[in-house]
Amino acid sequence: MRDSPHALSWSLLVAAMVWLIPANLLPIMTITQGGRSKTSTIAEGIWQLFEAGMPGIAIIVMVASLLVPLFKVLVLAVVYWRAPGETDPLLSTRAFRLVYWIGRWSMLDVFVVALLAALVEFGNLASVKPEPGILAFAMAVVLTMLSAHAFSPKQLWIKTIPDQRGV
Amino acid sequence: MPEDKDASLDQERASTLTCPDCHTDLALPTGRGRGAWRCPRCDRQLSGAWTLKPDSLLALSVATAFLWVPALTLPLLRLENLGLDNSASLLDCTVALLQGVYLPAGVLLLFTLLTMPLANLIAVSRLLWAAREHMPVHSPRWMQVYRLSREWAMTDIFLLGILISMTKLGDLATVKPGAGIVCLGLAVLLRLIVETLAQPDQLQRLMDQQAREVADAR
Repeated sequence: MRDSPHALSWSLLVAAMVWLIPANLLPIMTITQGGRSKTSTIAEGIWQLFEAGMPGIAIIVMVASLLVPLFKVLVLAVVYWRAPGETDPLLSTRAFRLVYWIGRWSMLDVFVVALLAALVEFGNLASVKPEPGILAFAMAVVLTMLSAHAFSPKQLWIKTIPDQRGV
Repeated sequence: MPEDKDASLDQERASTLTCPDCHTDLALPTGRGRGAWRCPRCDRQLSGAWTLKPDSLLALSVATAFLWVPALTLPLLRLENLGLDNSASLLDCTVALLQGVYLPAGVLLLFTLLTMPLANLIAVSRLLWAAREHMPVHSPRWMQVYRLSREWAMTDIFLLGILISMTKLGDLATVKPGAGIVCLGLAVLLRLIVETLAQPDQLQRLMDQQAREVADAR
């Protein structure tokens, strides 16, 4: 990996993978209502939306906050791994472009927590406080985006460049 | 003779393009075909489906600029709970995380919700103005900023975040939308229209073509 032309992409991706662990295990926010506090992780927040009878919203949050970050990390790892001897650059390029653009939607949960924390400030009556999980999650999302940014699809086509077909 | 060679090289350069992703040399399409133009080899979009009209897009960018300040400062949502009420603007949301251990997350919000959308607005306006006036843009930084800010400006995602927050707050308090959400919604809509119609590669080619025409006229 050290001699790889995309060592920076790999390093950032590994860092993102590490941050994804606390992001999914630690609570992202605490909601206080009527003197009772309840902390929730990303997965618990999604489950609460399902229980509250909002399956549509729950699915959006589940896709953006749970599935997309994991999917993006996995796809990027496969693309980087295959890049030096890529035999199907078109498939890898399409996969890379897909995760490149959907990855930014994972910031959704960070924005929701920021908005709730700014809005719900009624002391013990009702309040929302951010928890460390949201910081880890934001780090994971940004590192994944930076990793994708450090990689260029050009690297998938290097083997084929001398053989230009032209149109 | 060397001058003839240079001229034919320039002509060839003007009529061909190298795909930035797969390095295939492509002939620029003649005429105005319908639909987006894509690289036949790697499927990269090289041109949008519509003709780039700097005048109209600049007008939309100016409209976005007018909406930007109220979108930042006016309340997005208003909450009422047992006689108490509170509201928050986009600026408040950014400040909410700009303290203590959450400072990096706050800085990220500042970057994605304030700095990058503003950079996007300024860069695209500068480039469209140059294209409208047939003026060359000497610094490549404007285009770099435009390309970067398309990815890192996240007000569109924040808008979806507001919708989700409203549903989450439903059982906590009474939620009323504020004027800020209307301004932000319109600003995001206009930005998305401009970004869709002003594809960076297409805009760059238009400006390169204009620069060549100016050079030829001299």
